[in-house]
Amino acid sequence: MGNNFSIEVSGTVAKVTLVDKIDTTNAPALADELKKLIGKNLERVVFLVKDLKYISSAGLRAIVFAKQKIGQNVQVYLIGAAKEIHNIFKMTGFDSFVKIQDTYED
Amino acid sequence: MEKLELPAVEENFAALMNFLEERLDRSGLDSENLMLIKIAFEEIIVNVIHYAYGADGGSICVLIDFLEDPKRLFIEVRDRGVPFNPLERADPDIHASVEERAIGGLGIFMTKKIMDSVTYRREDETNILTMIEAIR
Repeated sequence: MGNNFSIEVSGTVAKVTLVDKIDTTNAPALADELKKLIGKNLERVVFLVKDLKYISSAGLRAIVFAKQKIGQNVQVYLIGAAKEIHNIFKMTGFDSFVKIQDTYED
Repeated sequence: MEKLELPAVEENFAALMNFLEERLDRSGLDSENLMLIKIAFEEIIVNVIHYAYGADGGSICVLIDFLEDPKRLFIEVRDRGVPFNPLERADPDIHASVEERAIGGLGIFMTKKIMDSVTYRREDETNILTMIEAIR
């Protein structure tokens, strides 16, 4: 997790674990890795963020990208967000297209 | 008032963030506000690093102060690049559907939402962006 993220694909679900900070320094690498998910017929991209403490607009752009480019029918989840992170998703209206849940079960 | 001036390049992003973080640590702000202010600051300095200068480059200057009566945090970011008022940019439509979501403009929108006041002025061929946040 040198870049503060890791991605694991299983069937039609990609789980993306984000920790600590996603900012202008590591968001481009995250976006590059998410691009590799295009064409994999995913149904869900699940961001596991319980240890995420900071996300700037660069990180949010990578998440919007996941929704826009990976596939029309992909549902994006945000799991375990701290209150501060949840509030950023509300502030930016991202809560309208990301399912925000405390926990995730396959 | 404390000041840091560095070449406006990606390599100095961490040093600029650290300069703010070290001062915020003794501000008495709670952890959520600390994070939000760092985000607001990141958006502004990244704009300067990416867009203020052409190939010749230039510097970015950050000024931080704590003001009294009422207590508030003062942050100013200056560059001598092309005239650019980021506040003139239209806010993104945060109610747009995800397919129609424009990717640009989100950072400055967040900065405006987070800080109590964000103002821009151009003076002596310098872009000056001032951000104020009350410390409650």
